[in-house]
Amino acid sequence: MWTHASDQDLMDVLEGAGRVSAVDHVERCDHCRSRLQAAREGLRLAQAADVPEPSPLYWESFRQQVGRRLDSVPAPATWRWTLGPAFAALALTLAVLSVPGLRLLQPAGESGPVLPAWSPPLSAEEDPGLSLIQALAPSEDDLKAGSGGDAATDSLGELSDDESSALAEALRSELQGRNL
Amino acid sequence: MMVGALDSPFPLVVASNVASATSRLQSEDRDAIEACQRGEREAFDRLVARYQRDVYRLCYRYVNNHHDANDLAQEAFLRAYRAIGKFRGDSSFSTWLYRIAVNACLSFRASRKAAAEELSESLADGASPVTESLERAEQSSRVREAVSRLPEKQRATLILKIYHELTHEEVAKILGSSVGTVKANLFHALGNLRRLLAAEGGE
Repeated sequence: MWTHASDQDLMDVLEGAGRVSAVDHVERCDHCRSRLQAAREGLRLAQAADVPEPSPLYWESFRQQVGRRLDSVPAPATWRWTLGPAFAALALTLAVLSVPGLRLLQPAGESGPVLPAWSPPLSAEEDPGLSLIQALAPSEDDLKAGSGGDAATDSLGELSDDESSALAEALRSELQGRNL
Repeated sequence: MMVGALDSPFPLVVASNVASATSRLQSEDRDAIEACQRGEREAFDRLVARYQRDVYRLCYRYVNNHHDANDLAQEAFLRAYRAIGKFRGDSSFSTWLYRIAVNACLSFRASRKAAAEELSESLADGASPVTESLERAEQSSRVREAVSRLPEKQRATLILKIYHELTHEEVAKILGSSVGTVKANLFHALGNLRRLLAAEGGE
């Protein structure tokens, strides 16, 4: 069966790199030889068409124009220079958080009690902690004497062991069951 | 088996000094690219200086006038600068840059399609007979005009292969097609170019 050479084969022949069979075919086939001749003529015409060469000064001007436009463009960034440090910081954070002594990253099965994210504040009348703070707060006389906030500390320091234990117990019972 | 039964119009360049020069150029490109990726803007100036002429000429082949070629070449470099962070060196920088330039030209032509068609029609109507004494510049202009009227793929293939002397493999990479398709497109482009010019009385 007689088949013409493909465009690809003819291009190879035109470039001097055709298979023997394609070259032989072109020599014997008027149709393919004619197409090859047209392409060769087209090539000759294309190669003869130059682009007008701008003045040598143009290239310097071109570089400067591109440079000016680049100045207004943010510096290009690669994943190595942007995501790299971010990944490193993340890895460091994970390493620190997973140190066993810190107990910040616990396995799901060992998690402690779940605390509510937020509790509505009690009213002043309902809040038992306020009376305790009131009792411990320095009086106006204490403040005038210059003892300031140290007065409460001083008072606590003067308590005996039994009194301290009693105060601690009272605090525990007052705060029991409350989410702070 | 390959034979050179017909005279090859494409010079086969195999000299080792050319290969060495290419290797050095690629090495210099790589250095400049890495510097750009570290944020050294001035390094990109070296790439502009090295490729501005090729990119300009590529764009000129597409649009056939200095003003648009200048704009498009600048646009191609801006796009390349913005995207250089993503350049991984899978192909040579020039191949990558040409692809950007070709895309810029295709976008431009798509936006100017209507105007370009009007231009082609007006030139076809007003084409004057061409004689053998035609000035070379005028002949060049006519050929460039004919090239600009080729179908997109054929035009891109012809420009990259003939005027920028890229290999079939490089053209295939830039245009995202196969080597076989590139050869077929080039063959069609050359035949169509001949026909276009003959129809206008150029040859």
